Amino acid sequence: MCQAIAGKITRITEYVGDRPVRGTVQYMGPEGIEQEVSLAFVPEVAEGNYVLVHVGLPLQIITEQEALEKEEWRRKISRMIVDDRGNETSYLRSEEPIKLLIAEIRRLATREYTIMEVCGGQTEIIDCYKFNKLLEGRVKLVPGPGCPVCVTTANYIDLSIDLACREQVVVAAFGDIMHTPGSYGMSLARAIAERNAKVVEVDSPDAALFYALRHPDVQVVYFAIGFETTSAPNALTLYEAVTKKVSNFSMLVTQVMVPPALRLLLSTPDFHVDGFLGAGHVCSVMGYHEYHPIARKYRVPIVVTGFEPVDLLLGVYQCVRMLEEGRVGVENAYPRIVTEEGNVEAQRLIKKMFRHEDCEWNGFGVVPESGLRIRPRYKTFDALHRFGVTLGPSVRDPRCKLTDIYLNKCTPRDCPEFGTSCTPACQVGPGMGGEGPCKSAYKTFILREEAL
Amino acid sequence: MNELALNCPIPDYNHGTKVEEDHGHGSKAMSKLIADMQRWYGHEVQVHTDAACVPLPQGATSLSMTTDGHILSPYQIPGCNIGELAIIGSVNDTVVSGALPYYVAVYMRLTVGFPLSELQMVCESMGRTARDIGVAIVTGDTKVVPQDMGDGIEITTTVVGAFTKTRIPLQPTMVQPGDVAIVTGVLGRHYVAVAVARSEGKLVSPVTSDMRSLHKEVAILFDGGIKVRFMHDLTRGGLLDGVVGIAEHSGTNIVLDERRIPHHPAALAACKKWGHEILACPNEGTMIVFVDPRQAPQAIDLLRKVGSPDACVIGEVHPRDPGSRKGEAILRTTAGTERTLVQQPGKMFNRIC
Repeated sequence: MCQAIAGKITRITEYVGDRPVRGTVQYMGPEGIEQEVSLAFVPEVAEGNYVLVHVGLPLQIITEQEALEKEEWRRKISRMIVDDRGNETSYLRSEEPIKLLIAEIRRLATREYTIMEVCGGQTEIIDCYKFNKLLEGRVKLVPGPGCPVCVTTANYIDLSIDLACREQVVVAAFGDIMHTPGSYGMSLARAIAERNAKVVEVDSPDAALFYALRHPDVQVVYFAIGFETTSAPNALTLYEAVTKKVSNFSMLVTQVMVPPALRLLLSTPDFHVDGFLGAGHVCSVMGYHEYHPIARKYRVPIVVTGFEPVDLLLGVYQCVRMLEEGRVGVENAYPRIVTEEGNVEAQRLIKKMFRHEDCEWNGFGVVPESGLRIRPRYKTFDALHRFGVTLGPSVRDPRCKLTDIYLNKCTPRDCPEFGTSCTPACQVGPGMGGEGPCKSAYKTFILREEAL
Repeated sequence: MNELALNCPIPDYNHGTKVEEDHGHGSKAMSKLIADMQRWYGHEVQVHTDAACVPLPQGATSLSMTTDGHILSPYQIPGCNIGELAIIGSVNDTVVSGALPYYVAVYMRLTVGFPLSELQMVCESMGRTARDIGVAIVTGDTKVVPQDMGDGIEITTTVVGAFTKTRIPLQPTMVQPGDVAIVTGVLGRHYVAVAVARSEGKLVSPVTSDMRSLHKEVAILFDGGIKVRFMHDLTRGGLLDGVVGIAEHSGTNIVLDERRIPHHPAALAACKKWGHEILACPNEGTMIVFVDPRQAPQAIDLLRKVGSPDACVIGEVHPRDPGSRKGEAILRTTAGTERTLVQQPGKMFNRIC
């Protein structure tokens, strides 16, 4: 879930009192790209610090961890990460630490463990690098419900299409949700062509608000999907819209949270995995204190894990180590980004703007207290209220096996529709879009199968 | 009636600063615009016939013909304007097929309100670019459309080229197991330069488009005696689309080494930021060349001499899997595993996840 990139704060451009509020962040060094960003959630930041940026908003300051590492080889990895932070992908995808970690995991595991990665971004890396093949016989990684696009129910997509087709209304959405089918297979992208829907693709909630300010003659509805990670920028944009009284901006909100989903999975009869890899970017905002009671109650290890190949294998390594030692609990394999308490500033704003509600997850049904919706006092910015609309029923194609995939009862390749009637270009179910497990599997497997 | 007509003011096309609807109709206004455009191209002799009559290229054994429509929004970005792109885009398609480019036809679709001074700049760029490469703009057509039907300026060019005894037509079927794949430069520059230009100042980067004519690269490879099997310029769909197509049509497996593929840092940043596929980023002056493995070092030396300092080997060609009907493009990851590459399902979009 949650596309994010590390960048360096090169300048702080605006202060309120002593507190930095805006600055420029540089991605991939001086030859890369620079962008001006809000520093609302990283008030302690200084010039030269590295930060993790999600949809154009820094969510955490990246910290040095080397001193904490005991084993020699882990110190080495952590030192390389620190040395190479501006360019972190290059080392974190390189051969040497990947091979080292695979060997360590294979050495450590005395039997085959099933570990669920909660996040679709991790699924994608696992499939691209074929980690299940490299870890065969020791660790089986299975995808969990961690793609915000896939868990969004069809009725929200239907409603967004309905709004986008109205006079003087424009829907602002991320590209991946634009291509996800609602009921009867209609997506926002297709509705542009077939129903004259007015949709703009944005790369941040901020861009949606900016569009509204520049087009005062239309109502702009920002389709706010996401996990906790995206809830933080969404909350900031809502706060700005409320403060600036932007009367032509509203949000169609369906945000979900990870811990209630984990609880639901773990309390489902027949569901079994040995451990979880926690989604690192969600934890960059929320911390991991919420996971302790879950790990204790259900007797599982949970390891907070990052997204580069080396980060991911480090998460697997720590999970296997906990399993071998018979320990349950929570460990953090992504300490350069994630702290126990998370980003308190961001949590405070999320709490101020949104409240917990029961929420329907695609493939799961209603998960109690798992949604983040706009608080009643800001309801004029809630698209449901502004347009006086309610959600209809969700009609999903009954052929879709996404629920069984998330419950680890089958893999995407066991689904008869996989790669035949269901492809990224023509999706039967939402798992074939966004960073869904089916799309990820499709990208890596289907061509080889076709060739045979 | 006659008196009334005589009293009407006569439109004066010498003083307008923008493209007007009148420029699109067979009229005095149009004739003047076309004469201006020919002058801006730098033509010494103005053409007055509907069809260009041009000499046959020397030594031609057969002709090549390519056409390419160009839209660029905004029409000028660092390192590239739509005029240069319109010439170079079609020239590159011509030269990578093996042919020598000769003649260019230009179809220009202008939107009412496009500034004439900008049109002059674009036409002068086209003329200059054509002269630098050594091709001639020999014919053209211009249409004017209402404001809601266009994006300022769109240019389609058609290039006629010639194959000779030494410049033979290249086909993907010439790619053989054992060949190596070379890219002539760092990938992703055009893609990021466009994205940065479209951000309206929100993103800043020193990156410029890689747009350049590849005629010198191709010429030096042929003249240097390199046995070029196949070439492809990595425009839309980038390296990914290119190698998937070549693998399929050649019936071989093309194995790329992830560690050796040179990406521009700004392209890496943009792809990580938006979740785009780095291998699918378009370029406008970079190609992949398949050559005999023994000649790879020499080919790279030659390419570096003509302004492609970053040319490098990125992969090799293997026989297709036994029992398989078609070839595959495969990426060897840094983990040592292999990933089969497939075309992107649609356009690249900004991802939240």
